[in-house]
Amino acid sequence: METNSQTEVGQKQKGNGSGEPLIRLEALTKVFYTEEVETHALSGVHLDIRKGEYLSISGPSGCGKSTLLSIIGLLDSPTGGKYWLGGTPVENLNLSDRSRIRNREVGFIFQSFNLIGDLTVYENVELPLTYRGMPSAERKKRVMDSLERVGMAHRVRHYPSQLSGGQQQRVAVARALAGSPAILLADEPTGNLDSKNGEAVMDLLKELHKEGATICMVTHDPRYARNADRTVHLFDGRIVDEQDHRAHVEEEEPPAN
Amino acid sequence: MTSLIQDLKYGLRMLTKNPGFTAVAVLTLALGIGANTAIFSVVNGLVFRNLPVPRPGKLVSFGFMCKGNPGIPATSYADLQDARHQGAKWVDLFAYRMGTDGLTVGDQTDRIATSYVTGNFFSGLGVQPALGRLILPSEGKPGGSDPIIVLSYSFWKSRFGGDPSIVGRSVRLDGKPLTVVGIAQKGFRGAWSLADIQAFVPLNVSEGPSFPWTDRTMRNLFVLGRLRPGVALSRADAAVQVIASRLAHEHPKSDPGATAWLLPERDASLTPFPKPGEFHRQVASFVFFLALALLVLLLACFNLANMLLVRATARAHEMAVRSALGAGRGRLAGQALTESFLLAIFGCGAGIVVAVWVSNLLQSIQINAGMNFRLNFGFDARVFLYATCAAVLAAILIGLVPALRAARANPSEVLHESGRTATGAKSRLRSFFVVGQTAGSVVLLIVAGLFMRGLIAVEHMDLGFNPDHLFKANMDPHEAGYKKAQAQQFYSHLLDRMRAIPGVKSASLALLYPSNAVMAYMMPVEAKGHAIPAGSAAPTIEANIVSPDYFKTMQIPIVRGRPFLDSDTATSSKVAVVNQTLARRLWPKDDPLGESFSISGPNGPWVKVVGIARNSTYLSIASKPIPYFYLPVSQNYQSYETLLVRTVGHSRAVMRSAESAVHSLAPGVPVWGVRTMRQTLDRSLAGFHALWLVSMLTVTLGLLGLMLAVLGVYGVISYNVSRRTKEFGIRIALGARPRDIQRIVFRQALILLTIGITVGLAAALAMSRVMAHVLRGVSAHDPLTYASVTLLIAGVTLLACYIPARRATKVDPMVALRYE
Repeated sequence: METNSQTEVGQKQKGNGSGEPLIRLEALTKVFYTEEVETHALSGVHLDIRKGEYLSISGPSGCGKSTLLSIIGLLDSPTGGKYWLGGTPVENLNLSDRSRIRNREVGFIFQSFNLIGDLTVYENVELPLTYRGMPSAERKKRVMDSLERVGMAHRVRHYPSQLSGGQQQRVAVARALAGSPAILLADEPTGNLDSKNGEAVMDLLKELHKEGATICMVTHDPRYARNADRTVHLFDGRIVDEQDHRAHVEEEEPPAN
Repeated sequence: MTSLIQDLKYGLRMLTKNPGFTAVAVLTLALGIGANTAIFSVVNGLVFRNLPVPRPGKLVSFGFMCKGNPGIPATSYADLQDARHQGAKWVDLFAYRMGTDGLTVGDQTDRIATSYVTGNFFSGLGVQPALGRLILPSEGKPGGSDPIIVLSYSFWKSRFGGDPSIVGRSVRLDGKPLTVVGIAQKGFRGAWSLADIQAFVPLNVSEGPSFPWTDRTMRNLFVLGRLRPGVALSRADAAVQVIASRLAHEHPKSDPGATAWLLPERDASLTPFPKPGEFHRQVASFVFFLALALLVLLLACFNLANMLLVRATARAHEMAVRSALGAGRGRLAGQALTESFLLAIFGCGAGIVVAVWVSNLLQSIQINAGMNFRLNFGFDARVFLYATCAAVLAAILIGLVPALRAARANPSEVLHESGRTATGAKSRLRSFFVVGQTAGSVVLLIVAGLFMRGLIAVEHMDLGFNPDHLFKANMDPHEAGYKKAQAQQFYSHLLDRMRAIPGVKSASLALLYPSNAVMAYMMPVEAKGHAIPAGSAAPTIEANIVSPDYFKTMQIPIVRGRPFLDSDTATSSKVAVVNQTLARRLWPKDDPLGESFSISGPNGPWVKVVGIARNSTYLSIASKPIPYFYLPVSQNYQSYETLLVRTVGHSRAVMRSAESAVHSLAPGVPVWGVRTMRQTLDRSLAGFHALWLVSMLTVTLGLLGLMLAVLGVYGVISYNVSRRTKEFGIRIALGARPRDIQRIVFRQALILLTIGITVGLAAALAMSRVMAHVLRGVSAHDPLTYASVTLLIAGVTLLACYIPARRATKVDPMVALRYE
């Protein structure tokens, strides 16, 4: 019965919203092979993410959230199925093209920040732009704009170890923003933060979304999941449920006169 | 470009952030690259350096030999003239020989190395004068008188302070008045790159009017040539072969079966009289030592590769982050390689400092060889290129695996917190490096051990004479202008004086002393009644000219007959003492005593054998027994002599008395080389010095190899202990005792060691055939060396592993279980 409901969710996804989605996944599968074990991490996922949408993905440990995020972020390739990014099929790209598109179209925010300890705040934010071969002057402008945006411009010369967890995550957000990506992918962005810093980062994401950013976030925390427009629930590699929070919000908060 | 600058900046930051790692890495590379570059600078200085003349590639060495005479391929003046005229179309031949003379300017006499040259010597080489003029092609001919001398630039600077007024001044060379006509160009010190020639004189200055210019058996010239424009070496070589055949036909008595050849001048870098193929054999022995040095570099690289692999594992997550942010494979690999190259650049810089120091040390070695040697191991473009190539090789070796690992960074790992521990493949690679290091180290130590054992064996071998309580001093009254009668009287008085000194057992004179490989006295020998076969030349045999007490002084037993006596005078019948090998060779079936031989052709005069001396060591202690004979000083006058004195006890006190005796008897006669025979052997390349140098070199390389292997095994075991901390914690929590844990650690070390030592022993055995060519006094399979090395490397390495093994036993289960 799960298969049917999943398919329905998938069907519904495809029909949701107007225009061509930014991301479209069709019957996506991912199987990990070891010497004796075959693990089906994703089993036929159908998902559309529209431009400007804020989507959260939730589910228990081992349900395939991170694997799904890996594939959406082109960190990994699917075993089967179709994946369109901005209308372009990307499921069979080679490593070099995946790196290039990842660098230009995707901004990552990780649970453990993943700042490089031996680079300064400035250099960490600059890093994806250098891989893009961007001229120095433009890099500088973008880095400073991003750091201003997250309120970390005053710490450009600091190293990650000299920052608090919340500050590190803001730098990570700045790094994700600097390249003006098509989508921001956040993997448990508050997982390593205390509640105060976690709130601050979530507020930042909310603001970015209001400004038009497309965000896809994996989270365990239902409070933060509700910040999103929509939440999809994964279980055993399948999307088993979906909640549209916008309708909920509209119901709870009647439009102001 | 921006990427490269960023990678360089980041690489530098990473290196400065880990100063301990960087220092160890740079030092490791410095030792590896330094050892290689130092050895190459020696090879370069000895083998590859060209003469400082225009177009040195067009210079050739001319060799001439006759059938049945395998001696030195030197050429007689008469044969040179014929070859020169007949081969003028292809090559311009010119000749020289070398010697030492006393140069007197005012009241001061200096012993100098002199080159006696044909008139076209300088024009053929293309050397220009720095001042005045050089010897002209019209000079130096037989019958001519050209009392001129040209000084080398460095001698002019050091002896005369660069005073230009020396040109035109009169000087005396061995008493002969000569005029200084010029100074040779800066940097030119003679036609043999190893000799430091201080003056050049025309050939007819040394070979006076009585010299047998037309005697084709008087082969004493080293011949070089310059190929004519457009003539290939092979073409000119074919021409001189034809010329030699013609000479053999025209002069069957003196030049039977004559052959000649041309070789690139470079082949004459180690010896001024090279034979075909000899240069390549000499280079092969250098290649052996270069290969040992390369092995050290390889071990250093294995060591560093291991360290970088550990770092790469630790930085796998960073590489995954970079990959996730869009870095391509090439960019990631490039960054890893940049760090390796930075290490290699620093290692190369430090290695060059090490190499310069070692080269200077080697260059400063005093070679006791009877004439001035110039070892120039300086750094030229070729040495720097070699050091650079070694650094690039090192960078690739140490950086390749980490670069490939970086390029394979899995970006999806950034979403997982695990995956930081080493995989089995990585551990296997590290183990491979350790096995390689151990095996290489075993090879190096075995080579070092064999050379050390060889040195000890040679030092204790029977030399055929007793080198203890014996000293020598060299002198040449001719250099102070003494005539024959004066010199003979001086030597006679000197021997009387020496015998009167308390503590002197006996004293004698000899032209040559053991291990003086530079000076040789060789004569064609024909036994009376044993005609030389048609088409063959009389064999050239080495000889010495000695005074009556020589055999007593050297303690060389006369096995039959008698030594020379005072009654063997210039007017008595000519006599000789032969050694056992020559006796067997010339008279294999007859009693040599009373037999005669000639050193002046088939018609005599004849020299009668009065004694047979036991075989001894002569020019080189490393040589096998050779045929040899002795002639008495009284019948064969030589101005240059070596005073040999045997003392009752230590020689040092008597040495001073000997020097004083010479100075009081003949104040102007220079005395040099006053040393005990042990010192002489120890400092002579033909004695123990070469073996000692090679032994020290191999021991140094062996110890470097051992250090690197121990570090490598220690590093891997230590890393594995830290990687298995949790496992050890669990084991201890489950009741494992310290010795159980130590057994696990040592087991791994023992497995690696056993494989490494086995591979190393097999490699050393496989190399034994090559080693047999360079070893003296010991078998290349010497079981004691193999066993000692095995025990040494196993012992030292296991001792080093005790530290991580002990650490493993100290793991706190509670801490360990929270590990990671």
